[in-house]
Amino acid sequence: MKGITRRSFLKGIAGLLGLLSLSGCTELRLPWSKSSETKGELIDGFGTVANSQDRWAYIFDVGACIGCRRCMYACKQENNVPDTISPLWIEMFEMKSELPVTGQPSEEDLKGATTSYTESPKEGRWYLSAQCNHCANPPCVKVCPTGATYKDIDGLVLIDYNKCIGCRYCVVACPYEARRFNWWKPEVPAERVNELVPLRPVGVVEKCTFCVHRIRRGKLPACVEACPVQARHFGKLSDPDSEVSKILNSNRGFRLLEELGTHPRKWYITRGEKWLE
Amino acid sequence: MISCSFQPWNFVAPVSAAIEEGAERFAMTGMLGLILMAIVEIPVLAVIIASILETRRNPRVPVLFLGAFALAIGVSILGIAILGIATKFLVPQ
Amino acid sequence: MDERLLQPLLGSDRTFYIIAGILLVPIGWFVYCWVLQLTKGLSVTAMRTPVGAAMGVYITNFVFFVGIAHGGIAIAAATRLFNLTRFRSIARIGEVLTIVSIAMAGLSILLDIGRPDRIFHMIRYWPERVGWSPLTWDITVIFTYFALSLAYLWLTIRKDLFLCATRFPKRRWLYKALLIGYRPGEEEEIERLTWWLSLAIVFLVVMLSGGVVAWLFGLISSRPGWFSALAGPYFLTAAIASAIAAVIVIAALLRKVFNWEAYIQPQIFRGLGIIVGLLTLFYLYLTLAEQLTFRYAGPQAETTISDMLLGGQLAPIYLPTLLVGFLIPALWLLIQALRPRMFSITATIIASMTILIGFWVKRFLIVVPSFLRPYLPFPTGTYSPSWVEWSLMIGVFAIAILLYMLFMKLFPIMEVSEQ
Repeated sequence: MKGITRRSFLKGIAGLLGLLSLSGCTELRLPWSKSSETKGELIDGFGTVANSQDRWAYIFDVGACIGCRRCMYACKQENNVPDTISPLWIEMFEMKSELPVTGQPSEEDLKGATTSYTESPKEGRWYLSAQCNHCANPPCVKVCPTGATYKDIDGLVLIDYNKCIGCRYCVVACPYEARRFNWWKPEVPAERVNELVPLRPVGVVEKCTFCVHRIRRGKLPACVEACPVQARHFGKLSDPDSEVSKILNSNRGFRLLEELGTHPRKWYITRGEKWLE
Repeated sequence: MISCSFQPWNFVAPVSAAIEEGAERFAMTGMLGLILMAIVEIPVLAVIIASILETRRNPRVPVLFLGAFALAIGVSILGIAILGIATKFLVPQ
Repeated sequence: MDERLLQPLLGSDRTFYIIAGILLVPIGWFVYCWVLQLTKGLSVTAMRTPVGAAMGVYITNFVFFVGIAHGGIAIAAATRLFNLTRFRSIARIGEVLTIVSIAMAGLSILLDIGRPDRIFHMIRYWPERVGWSPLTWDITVIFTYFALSLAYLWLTIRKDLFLCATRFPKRRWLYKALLIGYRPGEEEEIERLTWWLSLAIVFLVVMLSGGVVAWLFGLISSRPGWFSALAGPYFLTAAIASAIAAVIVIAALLRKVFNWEAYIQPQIFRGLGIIVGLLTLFYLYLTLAEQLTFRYAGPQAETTISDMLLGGQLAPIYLPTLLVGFLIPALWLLIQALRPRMFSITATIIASMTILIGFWVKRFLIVVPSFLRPYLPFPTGTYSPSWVEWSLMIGVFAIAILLYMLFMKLFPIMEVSEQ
């Protein structure tokens, strides 16, 4: 080949690679790489202001839960969840205590777990709730191609329903199956609508928001308030006097699928008497 | 699915630290994509530049190529925009 | 200039219109079904979450079409970079396949999106997300690949278009428009340019099918079965094998229809058949490695997926695909290459077609099973594509065939000018 010599070509490549590694060394923080992690003060659609000092944490007491599902329906009502979203944002599992609790249970293990129980609490059973954990290292936020799903400055993982294109990659990426997709056009009767929570169109993803419209105004999430046996607790770890701080300081707990490195914000404790009675 | 968290008493500080660590890991992931795109596109760019340099004796050829390349990308983006607008009338808003 | 090579462009053959007419039926049905899906939402598919599959036939189609889009450039590059001139005659057959396939891959994605009216968001937020999302990486590399391939096709077809402009005065305007800036004798420079472009495109083949498309799946740790370092080589092998199988089928078909026996020699099919056979066997080796890894001392999650494939609800599809779809045709392709007396083009076509279908099914079996058994104890899901999904999928194939035929009607699919 005449024209460009092999040598000059290789020199060029080496030069480019050198430039690249140089930029890598200086911890490249390009402006656009942050926009999904932080989002100014005013949040679209929720009308609230986030405080970056807040460290939200959610505690679920598997020892206390009786599986009454009041949390699920309080959430549905509070967040304008339509009938076409099933299961709801929160899901309750009735678990059998003598079977192993495994991630991705086999068909055998599944016989000890069900979401379709009709009576509770049942003897020899305990109840596990699953909802969005607002992970600190959320895989769903990483994979979103439009940035519709984002991590706010106070750590909450929220969705901008106007940006969502419904590709469902976030639904796929969440190991907790916490995200729901509007396969049908959602209908919520006008009298049931909560003005504080945006209504979603068809074809977008939605999920638990830790009732962002409530917690940033000093209230508790609807599920926490609705629980009749105080199995749910919510608050800021940044406040040493908060309930969650006190509970975590005095109770052992676990998180779901910890080994996946998602760093969820929801802890499960076994304080209540129901645990393995 | 239930793994053990390391749990001494007076645990709030380590719990917060765990959340911080998660946030840091998260932030670093954005670098991965940029590095990957660089690894993919820079060699392609280098080869394209090499091809242009190689044919600079006949400047029409690289211009034609760049024009075709830009047009292809432009038409693709336009096609996506048109499809988006066209479906707007059918998808319930 | 050999008239026989221009046969597709000459006049209106009745067969062309009959076939085009037949294709318009599934395409019309496709339009109806898509309008249905747009107005009613994706509920018309069989996809559901969290119990069921979040993605299904459309994404399978996407991966399939991106895969066969490599056929064109794989052959064109081999011809240019490694001087395997015997494949030169079918280079353009493959290049057109590339362009049509990428377009169909894009269409398949559009079908899968919940809000296709917002698809432009993927372009608009590209700068923000290119560091993060594998889907954004996907767009980046597919656009690059498509643009390079289209430019490559255009640059190499120009000298034939010049000849067509004189031969077909009625379509002169079309050829003249595409011949912008043409100067006879530019071929030498174009050869040099396309040599480099072949290099770039071959690199992109690896980074696309063996790269970003594979990593759409392989990086997602929440989906056992998907999450694997093997995803890159796995998808790459499948892509090139299915791509070359597709080229074999199309080339053989065109050869038969237009009596191009003299231009597309049997050696081509023997050579391509060997490549397909070897790659398919290599793919089976990768499958073995994958299943062994799942089963030996694998975590519950992976073992469950393997159970589903080898003995559970998907076994009736999985095992025949491996045996009848891959092993037998691959072995046959290699046997007939080793024993030239047993070689026949018909057998090559049948084997290639089987392998091609096998790869579509296999992609389905990669995408879907990992959804059916989530980590948390939801009930195990099932997924059987709805009639809307089948209709849209068949429609995409019909559109692909029609586009290919239209290209052949307007432009020479074989090189007509002498070298």
